[in-house]
Amino acid sequence: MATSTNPDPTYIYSQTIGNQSTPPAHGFSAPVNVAIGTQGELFVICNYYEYQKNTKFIVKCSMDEEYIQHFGSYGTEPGELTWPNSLAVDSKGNVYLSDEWLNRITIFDNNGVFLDYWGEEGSEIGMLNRPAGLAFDHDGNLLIADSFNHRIQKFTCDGKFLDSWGQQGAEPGRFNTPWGISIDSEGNTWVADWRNDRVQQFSRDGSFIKQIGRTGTNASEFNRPSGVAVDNEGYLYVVDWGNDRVQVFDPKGRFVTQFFGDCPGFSKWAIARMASDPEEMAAQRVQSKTLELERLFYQPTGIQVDSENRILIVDCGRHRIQIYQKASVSPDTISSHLGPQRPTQNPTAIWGQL
Amino acid sequence: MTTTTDIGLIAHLMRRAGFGASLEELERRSKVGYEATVEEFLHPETQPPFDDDLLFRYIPYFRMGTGMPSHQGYWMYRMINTQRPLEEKMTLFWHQVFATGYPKLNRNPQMNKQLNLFRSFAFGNFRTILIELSRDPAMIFWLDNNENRKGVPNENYGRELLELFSMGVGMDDHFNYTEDDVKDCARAFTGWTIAPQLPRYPYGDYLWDFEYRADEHDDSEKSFLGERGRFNGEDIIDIIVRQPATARFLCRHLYNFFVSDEPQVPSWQTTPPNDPSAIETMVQAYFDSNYEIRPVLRVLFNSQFFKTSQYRKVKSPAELIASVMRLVDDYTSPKPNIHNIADACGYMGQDLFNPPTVEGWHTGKEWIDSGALVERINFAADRVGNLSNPGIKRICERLASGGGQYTPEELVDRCTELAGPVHIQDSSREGLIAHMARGGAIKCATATELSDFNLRVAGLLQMIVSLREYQFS
Repeated sequence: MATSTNPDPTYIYSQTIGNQSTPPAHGFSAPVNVAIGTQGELFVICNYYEYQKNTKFIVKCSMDEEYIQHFGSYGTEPGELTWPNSLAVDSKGNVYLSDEWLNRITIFDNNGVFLDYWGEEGSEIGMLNRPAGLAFDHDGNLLIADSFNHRIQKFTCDGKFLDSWGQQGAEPGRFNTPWGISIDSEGNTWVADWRNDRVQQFSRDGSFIKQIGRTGTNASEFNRPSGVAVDNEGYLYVVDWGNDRVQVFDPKGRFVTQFFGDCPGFSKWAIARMASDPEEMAAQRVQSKTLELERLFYQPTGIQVDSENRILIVDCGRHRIQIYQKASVSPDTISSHLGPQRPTQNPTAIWGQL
Repeated sequence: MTTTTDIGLIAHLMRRAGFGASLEELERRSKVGYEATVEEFLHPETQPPFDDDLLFRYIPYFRMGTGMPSHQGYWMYRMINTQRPLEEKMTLFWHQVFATGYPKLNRNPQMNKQLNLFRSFAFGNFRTILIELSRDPAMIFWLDNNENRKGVPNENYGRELLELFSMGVGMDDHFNYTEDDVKDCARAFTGWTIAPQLPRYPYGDYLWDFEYRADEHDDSEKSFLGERGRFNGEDIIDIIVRQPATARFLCRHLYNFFVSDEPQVPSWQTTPPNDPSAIETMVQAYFDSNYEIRPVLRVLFNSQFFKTSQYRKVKSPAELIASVMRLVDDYTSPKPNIHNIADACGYMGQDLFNPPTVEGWHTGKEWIDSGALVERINFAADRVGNLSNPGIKRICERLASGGGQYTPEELVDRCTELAGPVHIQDSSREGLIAHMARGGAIKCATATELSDFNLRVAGLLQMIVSLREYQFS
């Protein structure tokens, strides 16, 4: 459901990928991040239970919800995952994964074969403490949101330290436990400055350019932003984790619109899942007076924009990815695709005060 | 107002009204004083709310997971780390009294929502508490009130509301209500049910909401505890909270939970309270405040019967585990496998969210059997013997900074102080001193001595938490 304040751009809900499942069934378990491969394939990292070892894994699938494979498992050995956070794919198609507990970057090839890992725990330059968001810059180097060191660090693909900027604080250019990170078409870096409830933009050399946001629930306000992405026209998408929404900003940083989630029903995998017990589940759905809740984001985390300006939002709490298409059509045309402007009852509210 | 700075008394308060404290915290609180600490506990809004953002970031299933260990681990983490200890302790209290179990619900986020409800009314008005409890979807499903309809009443909730949640079966050798009261109580709650919700699949659990269905409510006249009318559920609760039996039942529960172990609940009809005058004092506070919980607790914690009740309660498993973790300073920030701590609680006999019956857990000496005792001792000894735990490191550093040498007597006394303080009997103290004396001179002046000293301190702490006395609060 989008609230358009500017007729251009507009957004149409496109599709949903996923449902709650663990391998070998087709689905996700608390997906937290997605990366787009060199051939358009998707890699989705799942970070669910620690007491069920098969619920932390990576799914490789297509945008059309073709399930290709899964790989990775819970643990601390090389190639295993404990607190996986983010993914990035290099120009060769290799998949890089950050792990906030193991303080390392793990590398798989495009088919999920473990290749290597690097990273050393600590606070010295070049060391990592809870590495979170990942993004490759235009030179093929890897930027990491080094969250507990409250800085951004740049490495070569094989882990050689190149650069670092930022320190703990709330002033412009400083960070508090940053999470998501993205590179725009100009080569600038956007960072979801998670505990400061803002996003910040930096030049290639790490110089502060601007910031957007403050603590709150209104437009241009955030409650722990977790993910950022930028499309090829410079529009910025921010996952507002604590407010269960995504906000969109134009290249000048002005608020454009927001999404609360629009999934109207079942993904392909969900259809298959529901077929396992159609009568009981259908009966419950018929009785439910709150079908609208099914549309909404719940604890969204990661975000990516592909080359066709499709916005992929990782809807962690609902075990799926909701996808929007940026389009140049009038709001009247898209109105039928969108739900009510605001949820009558958002997941945070029904969860209650924690 | 007087200010009591006795650190032993404040430690007693921290064990009972919270989940224990390190000596550093006790020293800080002794400067504020006992009475001010009680007031802080009674007004949790003066302390920061629980910060779970980091926890949800690293372990997202703590917020949205459907598996039971998720929520058990999350709650245990809160007990260890809360800055509002009495609020969390009262949440545990209400979970014990309004015992609801996940095996029947199989909707674990709903259990967590119930705990949030308990937190929200932890110190509130008992009338409001019972109304909110009656509207709680987890409770409604647990005791079948969603099957309680006009013409075909289901008495399960109505019966337990009287028997276990408010009045008790009887007191002073008489019954507090009749079977007819149960039936009409149940009829008053017809139509109090759950709104239909989406199924768990394909996108995870959705929380239930309360729904009142007028067409399923029996609006005919009822007779309840000597009063007649076309009672609805709120009317029944209005009558319940006015009853002397309700006041005594509630206050006896609070006394049993915070002051001293009472006989188990089923015997309360025929067995008088251990300290009738204490119960009477609390009952008076209940009526004087129009059924508010906070004033009753204020009376309780400032009373002589509370202050003189040290080491007269067996620690519940949750209390034991949370207090050990606070002592050793482990799991005081997010780390993997927190659910293991909650699992340990279950092995000791208190599987959170899974009470053995709707009556809750039997407490006091019934927490202890041979298996549970071994679990309790092993759990505590493993943690305090681990020199990598920050709290144990600090104890060793503090002891080493005190001088280059200790007599066995000095070290035993200092360690029992730093581990609680733990009140131990003379015979236990003599045994510990003899053991330390057999190890030779106790020195910590050089690096070599310090290494041996730390190991001996850790060993001594392990023996202290293995003592019978450590099982008492």
